[in-house]
Amino acid sequence: MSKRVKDLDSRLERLEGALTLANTGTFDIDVEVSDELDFDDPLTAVETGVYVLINDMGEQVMESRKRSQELQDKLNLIEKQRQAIEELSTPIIKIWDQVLVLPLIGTLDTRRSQKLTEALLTDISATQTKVTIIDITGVPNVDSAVANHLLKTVAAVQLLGASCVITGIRPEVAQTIVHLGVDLGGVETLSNLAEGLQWALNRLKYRILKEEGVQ
Amino acid sequence: MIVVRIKDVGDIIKARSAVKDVAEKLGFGIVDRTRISTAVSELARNIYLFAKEGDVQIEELSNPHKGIRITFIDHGPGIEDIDLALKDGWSSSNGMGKGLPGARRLVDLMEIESQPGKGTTVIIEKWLKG
Amino acid sequence: MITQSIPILKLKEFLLVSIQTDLHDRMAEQLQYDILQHISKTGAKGVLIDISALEMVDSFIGRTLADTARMASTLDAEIVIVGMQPAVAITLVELGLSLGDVKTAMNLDEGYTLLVEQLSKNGSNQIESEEKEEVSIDDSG
Ligand SMILES: Nc1ncnc2c1ncn2[C@@H]1O[C@H](COP(=O)(O)OP(=O)(O)OP(=O)(O)O)[C@@H](O)[C@H]1O
Ligand SMILES: [Mg+2]
Repeated sequence: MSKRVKDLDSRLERLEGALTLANTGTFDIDVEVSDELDFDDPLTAVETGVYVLINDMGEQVMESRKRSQELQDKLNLIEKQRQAIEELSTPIIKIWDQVLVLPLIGTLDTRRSQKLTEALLTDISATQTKVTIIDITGVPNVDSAVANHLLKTVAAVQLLGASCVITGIRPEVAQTIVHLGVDLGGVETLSNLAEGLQWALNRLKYRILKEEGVQ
Repeated sequence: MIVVRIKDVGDIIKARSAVKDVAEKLGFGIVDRTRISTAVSELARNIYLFAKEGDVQIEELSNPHKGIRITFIDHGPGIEDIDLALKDGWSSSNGMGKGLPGARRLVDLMEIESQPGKGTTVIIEKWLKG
Repeated sequence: MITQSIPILKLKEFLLVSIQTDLHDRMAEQLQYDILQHISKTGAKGVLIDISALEMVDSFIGRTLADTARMASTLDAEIVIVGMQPAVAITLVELGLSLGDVKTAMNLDEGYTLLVEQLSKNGSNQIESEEKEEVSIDDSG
């Protein structure tokens, strides 16, 4: 004995429509199927099942979208903080009349190097500073890319009419630079910051004398 | 879209100043503005030198990158070997061969389409970074 | 098209060129010619080229400046490029251009001092340029 199914065609059409929408990622369907649920109707169970499932899926998708948005926000925040730390970690310090020091810490990629160069040159030009010391003691890996960034920065400083020395060249760094065949010719390099300062003062024609026989 | 016709050396200045205005309006900083107008100067000069005349088209970009797109179109002799033309220091005239490779370093995207005898189209884009 | 010319002034024993307008190729070539003519006429030993108003230096202008400096040195004159803007310097380096051995200075004062120093180094002039300052540092505490 078969049970009667009301409005079969239109209900099947609605089911199909809902499934198609769900397939394309749209889950907000009108769950209300018929005015009153008729559980004798064999299609009702299927309809209820399908619509409840779609509804659940919709909620899950919403939830996971929210999650991934939260995750994205957090990633953005981390990126912002990373940038802030980078900027904080590269101060441009005036250590003497006409002498700036740029103590580099961390890695040097193209973007950071461009930002640094821009900040440094703007500073040099605004303060008309004659000598800049770039100290790379805090740069862990000086590969050919990093060396090239440094060379560009030095070249740009020199175009302004200022001079530049790179200090903090550790023995390993000297080795890598030579092994990589990087040509630092034309760029003044010194092993440490103290020597850099000495060089800068010489260049500015200062002479530091220790007072003798202090009373 | 703004179009600057290149026929005379003076038009190179017109192209770069038109581009500079658009770049400034879009919010590019001074260094990027200088990078863009320098690239334009190189590519507009190539039109003037090698094709005698052509057009520089300037457009705003919004998707997927906000920025500026500049298209250089000429119906000159075309470039036989694009890879070679992009090599630092290679020039068919007595130039320094810095124009194409240098311009490419100054922008975020550069595409060249060229057919010998038909002409050359160079597209460059610079994107606004947050 | 009218080619404006850029004025070349005398600054004591040197020449001063101040570029105040956007340069196109023909103007740059004309300027090179004018500078060399002035050097030869006046016997000037140094030229200061102030480019602080230049918003960009492309490969053509860069090459013209570098060439002019080399040509001037064969006429026994030194050229100093003065006041390049930071954005221009950064772009020039990224473009891959080097101005060769061309001397640069941040401002006219320093450019002038540089020329004077250069002259006395070359021995062709007796201008006194040593101005050593002494700083004493008290390291007793
Ligand atoms: N629009 C063009 N039509 C035809 N050939 C071109 C065009 N642009 C570039 N080229 C070819 O590509 C070569 C390299 O161009 P590029 O701008 O790098 O160097 P250049 O113009 O020769 O010298 P520079 O730009 O340094 O003065 C040119 O010498 C020329 O042969
Ligand atoms: Mg060219």
